Amino acid sequence: MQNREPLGGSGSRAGDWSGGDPEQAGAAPGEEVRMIVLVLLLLANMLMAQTASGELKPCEPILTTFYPGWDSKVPAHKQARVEIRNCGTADKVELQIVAWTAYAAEPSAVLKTGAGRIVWNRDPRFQGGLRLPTVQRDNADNRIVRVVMAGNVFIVETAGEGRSLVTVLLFERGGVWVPSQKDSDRRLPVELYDNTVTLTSWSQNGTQWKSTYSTGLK
Amino acid sequence: MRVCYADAITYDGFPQIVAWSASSSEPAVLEDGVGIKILGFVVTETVFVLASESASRQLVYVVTYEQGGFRLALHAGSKAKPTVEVSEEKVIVKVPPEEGGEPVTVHEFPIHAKP
Repeated sequence: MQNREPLGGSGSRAGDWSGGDPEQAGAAPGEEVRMIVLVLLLLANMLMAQTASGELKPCEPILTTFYPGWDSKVPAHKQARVEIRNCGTADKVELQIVAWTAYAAEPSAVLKTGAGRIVWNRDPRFQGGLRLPTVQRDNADNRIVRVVMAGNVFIVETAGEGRSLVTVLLFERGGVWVPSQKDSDRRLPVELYDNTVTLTSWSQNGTQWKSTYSTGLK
Repeated sequence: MRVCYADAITYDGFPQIVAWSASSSEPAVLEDGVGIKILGFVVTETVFVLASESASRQLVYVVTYEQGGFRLALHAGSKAKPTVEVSEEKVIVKVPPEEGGEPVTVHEFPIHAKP
């Protein structure tokens, strides 16, 4: 399994944590407790990404597949790709995002969709009852509303039950990285400029955040 | 509804841009035999942008879905890469000028999203 962590890059922000709004990101100096919470949330993001492919299995069927760089000499099932799968039924779609690196036998990331909520779960790896925040997604999204793909950067926005989820995937250094999964009640602006993709989001207090990712294209 | 189905795209060579409506048995061919390399794309509910390059130019194609059908709404080229902005309600494509000193050409395409 790939070793994943939240990517910094040029645009990663402290608010780029999974499953909600980065309200804490605008903490004023001295608000140590809030910063500790933020660090823990970032850690939760990392843990979730690391365990995503280990705990979840790809569902069937595959609804659609996207290839960040098509190589006509390589069979489709051996290429790097992002699949949107259905874990539900034909009548009740439950979307799942599965990302593969080239020639991989196992997916690098298997991600749930749907609105997230923070739950504090006891981590069995730590003695003493340490609880860590994790993102729980109970109701999966049922439709794709946007896809942006440019070079190494893949952004998909899924929706359901009044909110949407923006998932960012990066194909870099032989792996798939998940720097961000953001819940939102509005469509988040995306800009493709030169060799970068910029995603804009807002915290609950209205603070604007811009995350810029390099496409790796020349 | 589907357009630019990724499985069918040949990234280097002469890809077709075809569009299928939900009930159509045959796709509409919107662009054929273009010698391009696909650099990226943007898919929204009703606006689809394909960014590509040929040997000498940056090319952008915009396909829109309106009133049950697709149409090639924009096919533009420039020496420099276009900028694509996706907001809540529209897609904006900014095509740089061929020569310095000329203005950037701005094209706007509204997204007709489902409620």
